[in-house]
Amino acid sequence: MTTTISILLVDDRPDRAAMVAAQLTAAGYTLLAQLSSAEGLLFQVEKHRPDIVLIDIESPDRDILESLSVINQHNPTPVAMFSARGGADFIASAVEAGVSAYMAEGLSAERVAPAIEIAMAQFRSYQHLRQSLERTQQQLDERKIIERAKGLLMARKNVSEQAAHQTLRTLAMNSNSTMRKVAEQIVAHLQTPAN
Amino acid sequence: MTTLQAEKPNIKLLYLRLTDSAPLIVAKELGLFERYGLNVELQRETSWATLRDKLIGGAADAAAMLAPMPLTVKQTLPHCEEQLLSGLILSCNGNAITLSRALYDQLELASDGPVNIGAALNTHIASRASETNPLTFASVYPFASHTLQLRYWLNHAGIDPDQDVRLVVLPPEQMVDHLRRGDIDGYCVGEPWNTLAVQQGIGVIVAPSNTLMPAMPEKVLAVTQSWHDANPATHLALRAALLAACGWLNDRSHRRDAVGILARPEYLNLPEETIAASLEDQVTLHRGHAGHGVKANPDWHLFAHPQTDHGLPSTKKGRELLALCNEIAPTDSTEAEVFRADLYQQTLDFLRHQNQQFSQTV
Repeated sequence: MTTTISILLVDDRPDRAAMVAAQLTAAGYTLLAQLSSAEGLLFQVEKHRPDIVLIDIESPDRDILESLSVINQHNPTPVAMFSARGGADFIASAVEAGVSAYMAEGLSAERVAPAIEIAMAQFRSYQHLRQSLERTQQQLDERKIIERAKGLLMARKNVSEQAAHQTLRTLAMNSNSTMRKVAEQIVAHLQTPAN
Repeated sequence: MTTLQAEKPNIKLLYLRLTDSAPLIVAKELGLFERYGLNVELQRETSWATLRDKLIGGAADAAAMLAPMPLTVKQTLPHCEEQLLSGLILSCNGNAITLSRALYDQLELASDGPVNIGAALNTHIASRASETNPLTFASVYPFASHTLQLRYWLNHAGIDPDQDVRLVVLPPEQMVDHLRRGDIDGYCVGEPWNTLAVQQGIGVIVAPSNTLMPAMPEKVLAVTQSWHDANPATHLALRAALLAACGWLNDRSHRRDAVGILARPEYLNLPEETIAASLEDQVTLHRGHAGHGVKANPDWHLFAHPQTDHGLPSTKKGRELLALCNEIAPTDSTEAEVFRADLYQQTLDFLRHQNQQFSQTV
């Protein structure tokens, strides 16, 4: 890399922004600024004159960036980076990763592509992290509701924990349902005041 | 009934939170997609650029898109090899220009109307020439009817949209908040975001778009060229269902039902009274005494109709839009061909054939 490429990062998720920023800096890119949202984006782009702007594809502020690149064609403001690779394939993988990038006119695609790929990789691993967090949370919730259903069964029917567990499993199998769903029904049912 | 063999019966269709997304939403709720063998999932987006990129990237099958958008892919994504095309203009009009209540009050108007307000605004801008911050107006996307309508109104009032004011872009659902905060002084946006500002007492409607540029193409059904090549029958089924939905919406007695559907949380998630205004041809210019400022505004939303050419995307209409867009940034007139009149004709022929078969059987 002869001169380092400067980047403006716009991301409303601070934890993800930190991941991306760390990777980009480690790879030798200059991080000009890290904005939580595009508030004042017009001003920020003019002030920092970045070579690339990286932004979450779901950000409503993308239309602001788009207007900058279309209207200020003679300024070194960003143009849509999809020009870098031409075809729809690259757009597809960027969309999937959740990254959208805008790069300055005159920059060669080869020089910018690695930075964008770093961001895409970081966005993807952030997605995985969130998904696995959500899964863990779901499993915890599931265990909680099953324990509660078992507790209610034990108290109301005066049975052992093992018998309560067995009841839940049989109900789930017979109704072609999950233990969680059966547990939810039992809790809803047994929680209503007895007549 | 002729049945189409859709190559891809499961469809993802993108839209934004706007009243003129009605054809997609009612087609879904009335079962019109099913009638033509499609199972459609509607997905709400917040940004036009995102909607476009998801479509090009293959994350969706089709989208209700700003009419100039498929015509200007080359301008916004210069080396993108994928092309967009449209065989159906879903709607015309549907926007308005709104000024902040604060700015409107400063104009000290003797009478309303877009021409009078424009003239007063021109005088006002001249009187504040010493101020460093120019008045700021927003539209929703660089190449959009909104930008064109806003520039048209300013130009007519003798205001240079590039010199005398600052034009910015904001996503539709953020307009009202930005107006309330005073970040912008006015905007041109689709309904119901004008009526909402009036109902909240923070904005005044200057001109509904149909009074500025009548029957201007507003939203089109857009797909990528490669998707169309791979799924021609699916595309035809989609156009047939949406044209049928537009036809249903053209019957004014259905509009009240449409309002109820659109207001639901999964669609526009706004009060019925906010959505009802433009669909029922009523404009409340500003909030005042009872009935004050309420006017009939027929054709605020013109949906595609088989008997008129409102739904017809022709090369001629494409060229006209591109000529207007050229004022914003240089455009390429050869792109006008992405408006496919032949596909529209195919839809009409298909529906006609189907109706004939139907009347023969009853």
